[in-house]
Amino acid sequence: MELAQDFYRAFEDVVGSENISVDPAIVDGYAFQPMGGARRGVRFFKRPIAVILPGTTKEVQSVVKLCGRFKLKVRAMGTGYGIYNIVGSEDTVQLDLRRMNRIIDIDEKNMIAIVEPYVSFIQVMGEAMKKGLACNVLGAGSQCSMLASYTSLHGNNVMAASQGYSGRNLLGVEWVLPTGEIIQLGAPGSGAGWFTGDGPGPSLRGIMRGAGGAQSGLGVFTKCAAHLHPWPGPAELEVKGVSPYYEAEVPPNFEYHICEFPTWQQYADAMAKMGAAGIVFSMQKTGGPGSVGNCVTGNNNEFYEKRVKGELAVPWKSFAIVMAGYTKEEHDWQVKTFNAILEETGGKIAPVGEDPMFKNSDFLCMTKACFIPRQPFRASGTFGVDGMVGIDTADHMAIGLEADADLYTKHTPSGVMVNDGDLNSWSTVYEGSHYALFECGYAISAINQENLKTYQKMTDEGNDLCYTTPFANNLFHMGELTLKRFGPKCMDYPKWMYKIKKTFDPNTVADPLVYPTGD
Amino acid sequence: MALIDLKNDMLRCCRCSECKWIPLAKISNYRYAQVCPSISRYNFHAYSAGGKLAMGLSVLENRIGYTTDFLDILYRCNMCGACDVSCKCNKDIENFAITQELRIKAVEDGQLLPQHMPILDSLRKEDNTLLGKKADRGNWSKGLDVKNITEEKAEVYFHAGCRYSFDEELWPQIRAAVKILQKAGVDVAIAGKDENCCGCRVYEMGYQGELTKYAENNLEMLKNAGVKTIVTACADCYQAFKVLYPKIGKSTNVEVLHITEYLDRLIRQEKLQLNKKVPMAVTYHDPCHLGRLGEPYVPWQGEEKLVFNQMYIYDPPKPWRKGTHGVYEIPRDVIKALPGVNLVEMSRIKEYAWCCGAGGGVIDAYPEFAQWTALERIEEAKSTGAEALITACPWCKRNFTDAIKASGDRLKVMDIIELVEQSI
Repeated sequence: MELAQDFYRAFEDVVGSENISVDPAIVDGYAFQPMGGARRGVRFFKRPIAVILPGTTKEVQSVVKLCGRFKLKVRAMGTGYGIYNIVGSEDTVQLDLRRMNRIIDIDEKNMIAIVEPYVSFIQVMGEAMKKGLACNVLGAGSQCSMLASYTSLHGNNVMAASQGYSGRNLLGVEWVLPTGEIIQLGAPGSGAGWFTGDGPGPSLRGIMRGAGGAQSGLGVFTKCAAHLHPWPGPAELEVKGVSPYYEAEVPPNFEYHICEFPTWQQYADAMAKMGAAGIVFSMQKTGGPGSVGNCVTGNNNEFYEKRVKGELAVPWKSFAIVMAGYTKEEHDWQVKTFNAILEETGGKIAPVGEDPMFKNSDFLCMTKACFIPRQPFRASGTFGVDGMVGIDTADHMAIGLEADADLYTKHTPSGVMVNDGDLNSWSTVYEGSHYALFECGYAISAINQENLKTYQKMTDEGNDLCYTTPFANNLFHMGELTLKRFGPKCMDYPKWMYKIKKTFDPNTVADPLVYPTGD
Repeated sequence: MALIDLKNDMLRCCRCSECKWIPLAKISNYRYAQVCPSISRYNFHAYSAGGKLAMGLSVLENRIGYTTDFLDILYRCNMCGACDVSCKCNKDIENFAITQELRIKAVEDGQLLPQHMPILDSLRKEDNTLLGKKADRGNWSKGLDVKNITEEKAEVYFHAGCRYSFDEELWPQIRAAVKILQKAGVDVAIAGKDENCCGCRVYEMGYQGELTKYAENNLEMLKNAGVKTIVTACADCYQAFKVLYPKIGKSTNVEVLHITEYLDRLIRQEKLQLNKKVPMAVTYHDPCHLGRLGEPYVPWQGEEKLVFNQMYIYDPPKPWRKGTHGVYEIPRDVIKALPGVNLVEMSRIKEYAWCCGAGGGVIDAYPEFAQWTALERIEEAKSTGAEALITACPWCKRNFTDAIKASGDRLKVMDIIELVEQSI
């Protein structure tokens, strides 16, 4: 499908000739999406009809309006990491928001960052730390777009126990609707600043992102404000070493440990209690997906050599925790509380996390989320989720992890997953509560198609297990087929999504690939 | 190595975009977080290393053919290798090699960039890439009392390189380099008009055969001369002798040193007395070909092997080039040894330094992009409060100097040689 010349010229008038392309060498790059594609054995999906790089909200608005007029669809992307960035049909214009890359403000007093779509978490983190603040970083890594995660995806992360998931950190929002109208949600909607997403001014948080995010199915978000959190550490974390061996020493009044437990229930109890006690800066199950051993080594050979010698082994029922205190007194209290919870829950500190190299590398990752692609991707090139994903209570997390461990053990003999002896599922709790997530993914071959078929069977089994039990019946499923399957189990929430889609996007200008119309 | 040999690397890309940033662990501010000049300037994903990796796969799968945009994407890349360091920080993928092999394939397929043609003509007719006459190559050394390696034996051969030989504005510093060596009692010789191009720059443009030809010529000359050490003040030439020749199987037993390495040795041996104060705050720009691309090449032949069921390793272990062992500290040691000089660092340094913009044929084919890249670095240098931007490569100096001249800026650009000269 080709873009008509007059359409091309109309778009070109908006963004300039440097910022639009229909050349195959350009547009094919946007059809390439291995994160999500590789586990399906696919790298290239549909090509967008054109790629456009708007530089301002006004340009986004003009392009969206033209798409409506020309009966084209539009899909926006931030940093473009993940399968939800692909277009669903060849009449879709891909908006790459890369040129909208400013931190508009970091308001130290009100602990707010206001950003455009192509600002990465790590840029905000770097600036925030200088002001004694930190941002909530998506589990996919700090190279990702903060705005895309906060406005359009669920966004689990290692800081969830203290800071919640992405959507919980979202304040004011600027939104270009599929009709081309620009609205501002929350306080900015009434000119009152960006400090809240819920008024004064319209609060449409539930509509614009819901639980899992609209994933560009309801228009384009062009600015957002994000909640920043206290950072008791140095203004700049001193990172030593030369790539790939970067480390940061745990600062004074900070602690890093790996904690192991006899049972999943004790593991879950400890996570919930530590979250509730308010002693956590970051915390996650070790692994997730991919071994922590990857994280603390410079290449696969090095990891393998150490692992076969018995080094880097991480207990299955274990999590890593970073505690951060402002003063010695606060630090002492945190350690005392931590030890008391370990005693109550039968946990202990695992020696592997006390090795200085391990500690300094993983601490850095638990703080800046800087080694994330090492963990799931370096070993075998990609990872897959075995279907076992659930968000509910900490007790539910314990049951889910146990079921996943059984599923993993059952399928290990097939040789389909990387088996380094660790259990690389992932979990966390949210905001000091019993609200918790488990997500079970494994490193699998990015190349061997036969293995991928076998892995698909395991995934189907995991999905069925989730479907027939309450493990993963939640409001985070997107995409037509999944919504149809899980919707009836979850209060028919897709019906509301379809109504929202029709109301806000009556002509289906926003690509309905993951946010379908229900027709 | 051919493009097809890198298919598994392409299939293992996760499109995380780390190739666009300095290693994430090292990002500490908003302004200087990007590492790739190409994607930073042109924005479409294809301009990143990950984008060119996807282009490589697309070519292998016959999804795309050559277009004007294709060649622009391929050649609007400074071949600085920063993407490679950032990607390999977290993955075992030969990312940068894909761009190199795409260029080689384009040349083999007859897809030649017209802007590069005069350089190739000059190389083939006059053995240099600066469009000069071979007979004039030694003019920079007129009046210097220095041996010619083709006539007399010497312990050290000083290789000037095309840029120094034909860029008259840079002659004072290369002449200074020879004088400093002589003052320290080094038995040094040059090749004058008989010197040849190293082949590095045209190799980066995709002309693999030219590199082989010049590697053979140069190594034959060194063999005949019987020198123990080759010293060059050009980072490109250093990379050619140190890395590229061994990479194509043309190794030598001659020790290969950059001038900064040799100066450091002389300072440590107390053969150079740095007595005069040079009261100046300076910042150091790591030339790509001396830094991350100057890592010694370790020959390796092996194969992929699966362990832990699906994890791939290399048997024997592959000596990864992840930027870990580039020449970073030695130039800094030389600067720190100069009395009065205060070295202040930029944000993007060593293995994740921002490129000067001159590399990969960009200065010849896309001069405005080369200048844009240089200005980005100049801004960073100015942010340190330094009076001078110090480098160790004539290509960097040329590009920075031109960019500063065009922008009306006042920052000084100097080579380490000039600083050392002032201190003696």
